Order: sequence, then structure tokens, then C-alpha cells
Amino acid sequence: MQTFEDRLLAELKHVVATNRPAAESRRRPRRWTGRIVLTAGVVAAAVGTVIAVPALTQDKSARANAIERAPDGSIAVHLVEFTHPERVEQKLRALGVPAKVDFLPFGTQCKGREYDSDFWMYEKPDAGVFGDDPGSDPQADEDMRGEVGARIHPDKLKPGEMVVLDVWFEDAATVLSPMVKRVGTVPACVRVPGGPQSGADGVGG
Amino acid sequence: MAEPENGLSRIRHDPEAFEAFYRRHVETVNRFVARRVDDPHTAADMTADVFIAVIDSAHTYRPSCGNEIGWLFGVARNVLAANRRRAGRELRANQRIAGRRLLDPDDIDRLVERIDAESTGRRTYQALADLPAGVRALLELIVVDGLTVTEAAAALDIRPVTARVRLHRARRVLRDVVSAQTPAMAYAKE
Repeated sequence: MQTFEDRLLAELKHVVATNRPAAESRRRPRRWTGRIVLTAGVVAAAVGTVIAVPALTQDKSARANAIERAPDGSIAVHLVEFTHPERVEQKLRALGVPAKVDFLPFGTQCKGREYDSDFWMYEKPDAGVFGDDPGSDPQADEDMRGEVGARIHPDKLKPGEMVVLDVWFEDAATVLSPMVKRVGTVPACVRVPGGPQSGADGVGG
Repeated sequence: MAEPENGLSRIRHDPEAFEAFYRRHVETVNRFVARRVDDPHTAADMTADVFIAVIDSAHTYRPSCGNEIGWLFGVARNVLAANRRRAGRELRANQRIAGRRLLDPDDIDRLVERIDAESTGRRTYQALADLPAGVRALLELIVVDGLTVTEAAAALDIRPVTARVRLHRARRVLRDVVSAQTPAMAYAKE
């Protein structure tokens, strides 16, 4: 006996089947053209791959991390390369945000400021310095689809406080662990084992 | 240029490939729908809409962005949102397959049973209704539908790490809404 699922499948297969003649009729008279285009496409793709790899590498290293002030006064930190944390610090400082930035390989962390995956679940972990709750703030949602690593609200920083950004990275994964240090300087990072592991669930690009 | 093979593109024009996909996932789609609507006729329409959308958008699936389940839930969520946006009359006028027309009395009985069986998930789904959109979407997929963090991220087109951050922030909400004994909650604690 046929069920709803069987009848629905039959109707849907009919929809799929009607897609087929249209696709074939488009291809048939243009067979050679299609083949030439395909060949050219393959060649272009192959050349593109050869060129794209160094180009991508050059592009990544050539592109600077951008620090932008938004109309609402917040500062968006766009991270696209991970070789010069001091430049990120300088740009943040120029916008009035004292900052310590470190780029770290997965599996390492800075002694004295160990990675905490539960950072975000703390009650007001950053007093609003790092933006509103993702999901309630359209800007935060939008940020997370792009390359904005952090959105900082400088007006929430108190005198003597410093933003600390520890960033773990590799080709397809980035983890950001922002913190606010209340007073004093932040010592240089002494790497010790630990931190997030690439490939762990929830850690990825 | 030829359309790149992405693992699902064939289901747009190959009935056999589509049938294989349909049989793999029809139960999942049925349950997804039953956790969101309590009327069997609407459920039948929505199920048909989801698979029509699958056919139309199969070319958008990229295995590198996650498995089929995450992508399928993303499509289903879009269909659900579109259905809510559109007026019923317009929806019926544009519907390519009206699922309700394919129902017989036995089907309706089965759909009602399935809808009853998903009542707990539906209550949870409704309890999340007042949350901010981004948090609600993530919790729906993990707590109501049982997806992994990675699958839910794929369905929402966000990075897994973003999903995890969002999940951490929603931890207190999870505790209030969902019993700590449920498997989904246990998973969400990981």
C-alpha cells in the first residue's frame, strides 16, 4: 500500500525528471562549444591553481590586519594574517585601546593567561568591552560571518585596563580568546603546552 | 563551463539519485517538521516544500562546508522561515506540490502520531521562541533537532567556533529550558 511518503516521492521524481530534458536540450546543440569551454576551463583552473597558491600566500601576508572604527564608536578587528601582532597592538593603541596581542599555534598558550573555552559563559566576563551577545546584536552576527575577529567597545574600558587578545590560528581555523586586564602591563608571552586543539568540535574555520 | 560535481548536484536532474537522497532523509525531514507544526496538512505541505527546495538548491551544497545533514537543515529552516513570511494564500498559489493533496486518512493518522511523538521537542521549540534570533536558531538545531555543534553551524552558515561561543553564552538559557537529563543537553555541555 502506498503511503504519503511514496506518493510524494513519485511527484518529486517527476519534478526532477522534468529538469533533465531541459538540461540536455541546452547542451546538445552546443556540444563542441561545451567541450571547448570545458577544456579551457580546466586549463584555466589548472593555471589558476598554480598561480593562486603563491598569489594567495602573497596576498595573505601582504594584506594587513585592519582595525576600523565603526560609526557607533566600536572598533572592529579584522584578522587576515598572523605574523605581526605588534602591528595590531599599534593600530589599537592609535585608536585609544591599550592592547596586548599574541598569535599562537594550536596546542600552546601563554603562561599565566591560560585558555578557557568557557570564557563566554561567565557572567559579564568582559563588562561589555567585547560587544553584545551574538544573536541579540545584528552587528555581532554579521561580524561572525566575516573576518572580524573582535569588536571592541573602548568606552567600556576603565582607566588602567588593557585588552588582551590571544589568537590561535591555522589555515582553516581561528580561535580568539579576548580578555581584559585590569591594571598594569601584561608580560611577554611565554609559551607553554595547552590552549585549544585544532580539530576539536567547535574549533574550525 | 560544466557544473562542478558536488555530491548532490545530480539530484536536480537524476530521479534515481534524488530517490536515494529522499530515502536517506525523508524521516529526518518528517521529524523536523513535526517538531514545528501540529497540523498534519501543514506538515505534509512543508515536507513537500522542503524537498522541492532541496531539488532547487542542490547545486549549493559543498561537502567541504559540512555533511548533508547540516545543509539539509539549513534548507529546511529557510523553507520554514519563508512559509512564515508569506501569506497562506500566496503560498498555496505558488506551491509546486501541495503535500496535503497526497494525504489519505491513514497518512493523517500516522502524521498525527508522529506530531504527538514530537510534542516534547515542539514544547522546547516554543519555549525558545522569545530568545534572540541567533541564539534561538542554534539551540533549536542542537537541543530540538539533536544536531552536533558542527552540523548546526553548517546549517546556519556560521563558523563552528562561532556556534560554540554562542552556545557557551546560551548555557544558562539551556539550563532553564531543557532538562539536564536529556541527551541533547548532555551533548551541549561538551
